[in-house]
Amino acid sequence: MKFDVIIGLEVHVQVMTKSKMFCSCPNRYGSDPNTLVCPICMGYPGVLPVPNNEAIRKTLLAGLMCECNIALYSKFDRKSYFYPDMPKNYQISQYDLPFCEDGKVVISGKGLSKEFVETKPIGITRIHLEEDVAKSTHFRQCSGIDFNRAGVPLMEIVSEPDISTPDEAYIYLTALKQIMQYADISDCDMEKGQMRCDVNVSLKSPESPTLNAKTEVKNLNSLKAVHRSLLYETERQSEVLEGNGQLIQQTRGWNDDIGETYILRTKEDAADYRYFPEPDLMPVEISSDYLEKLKKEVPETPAQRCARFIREFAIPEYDASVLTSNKSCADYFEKCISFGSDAKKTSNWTMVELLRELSQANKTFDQCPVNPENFAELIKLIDNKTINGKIAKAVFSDMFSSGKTALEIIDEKGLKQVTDTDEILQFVKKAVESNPTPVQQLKEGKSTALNFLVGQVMKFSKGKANPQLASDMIKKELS
Amino acid sequence: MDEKSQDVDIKHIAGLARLNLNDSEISRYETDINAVLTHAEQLSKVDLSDVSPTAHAVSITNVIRNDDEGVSMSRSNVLDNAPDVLDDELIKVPVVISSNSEDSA
Ligand SMILES: [Zn+2]
Repeated sequence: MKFDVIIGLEVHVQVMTKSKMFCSCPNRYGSDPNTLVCPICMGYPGVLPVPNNEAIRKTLLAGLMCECNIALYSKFDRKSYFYPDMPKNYQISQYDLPFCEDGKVVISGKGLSKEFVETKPIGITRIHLEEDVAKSTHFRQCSGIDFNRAGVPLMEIVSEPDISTPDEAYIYLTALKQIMQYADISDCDMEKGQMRCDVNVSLKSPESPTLNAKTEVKNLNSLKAVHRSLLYETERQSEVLEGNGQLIQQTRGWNDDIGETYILRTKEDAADYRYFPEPDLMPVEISSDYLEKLKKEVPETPAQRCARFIREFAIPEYDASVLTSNKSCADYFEKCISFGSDAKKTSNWTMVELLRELSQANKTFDQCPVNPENFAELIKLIDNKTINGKIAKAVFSDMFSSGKTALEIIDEKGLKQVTDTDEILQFVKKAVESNPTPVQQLKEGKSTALNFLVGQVMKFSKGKANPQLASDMIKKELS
Repeated sequence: MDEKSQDVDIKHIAGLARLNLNDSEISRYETDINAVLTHAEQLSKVDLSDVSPTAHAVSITNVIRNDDEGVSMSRSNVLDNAPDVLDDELIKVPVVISSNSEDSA
């Protein structure tokens, strides 16, 4: 039996700020444990938290990027629970008046399984702001807690149950990540825990109007884990239902090593968070002036930038979507164009040569040793026939490893393309004289022989002859 | 007042607050909490149709701060206040969950 799959995602995204949400401790990843803490983020009694203006601004910006309604009046609430990662025994979060509600993210493209997903809007129920909790490391006999992460501003982005496949979930998360990166809200580096995901899955038989009990899978730390856990849960729940079993609402964890979910708790012992308004914090009012100002700061979304690249630079849709999938890649490309290199060629070179070198060197665009100006220059040198494409690839590799400019390398190694016809004629004559058989074949109309002879000219010229010129001159020589 | 007492599960509430109560404490809190609930019941009968809702007893909004980085405590001070310490850098607590899961929230 085939079931309809209903998936909703809760995505936690750390907001990039200088200081934490309610205290001035630095918001920084990778410092020595328990060095970025103070009485406020340690939850000592009697301290007074004060919200970080920039964290609120970026949350509102995230809401605007996701087409949400922005609450003009909002507040913080206490969510009570006992766990060592939150020593004051409540997390400051938002309950009934979140900053952003009722938005959407439009998804389309290829999922992890390479299946193409048609354009589809995924509703955003709400985006609220809260404080992150400490990081626990579990050992056999005990757990160790590092409070550096406690109090880092954390957005929770809750989607509507509009997602129907693991691929759609994957694309949705990728889209969210791009949006956050585009607006400098978060780097969303999942390995650093800057973006974490809980998924809700339930099945429904197509004939029945009612959903079966849902499962929540918590703490998925990679896009792949989200995809795999959804496949696993869909399968597991289908098997229970097909065996006429009964599903019960439950929370499960994900074991990435064995690729299985496991039960954490069932509905009976579900947490009772007893939310109530945070008495230490005053409500937040957003003036319409401020909101209007903020709307002007909303950057181009990845989808808008993709459309603009197609329109403005006349590059294919595929190129535009690859280039804009990563903000720094799109920035790099646009910078190159501003230095006057041809758009389509720059796109090819970025997607093929540059991406390959970067991934081999395990570098990001920001760490690229070839700056956009020099990259654009290389492409212009191909266009004006100073070097041919083949030599350009070698020059580029050299630029990437040495940091030198294309012209420096071309000069040093004498790679300038030979366009002087007298010089090329020498090579053409030599190729014709030393290869009577291909010459005969060419005269009989066998065009592959021409490629061979051009190859000979290239060889004699050490790759520097202009191949088109060589080809023309061979034909002329034999006519 | 007493007609409400069966609605309140003191043991459940105590459990949520991690309190271990004996029988006499349970009956005492039952009385106290019911008194609070009855008071709230009375308040809910007040006609508030002309009063706009508020989220805070004090009518001030936007007490916020700029995103400026300050100075944190020294780690030795932080760990001095911890009941137990691991490797001079982590706060040691009993095992909470036995899975490989990392975080709660
Ligand atoms: Zn702090």
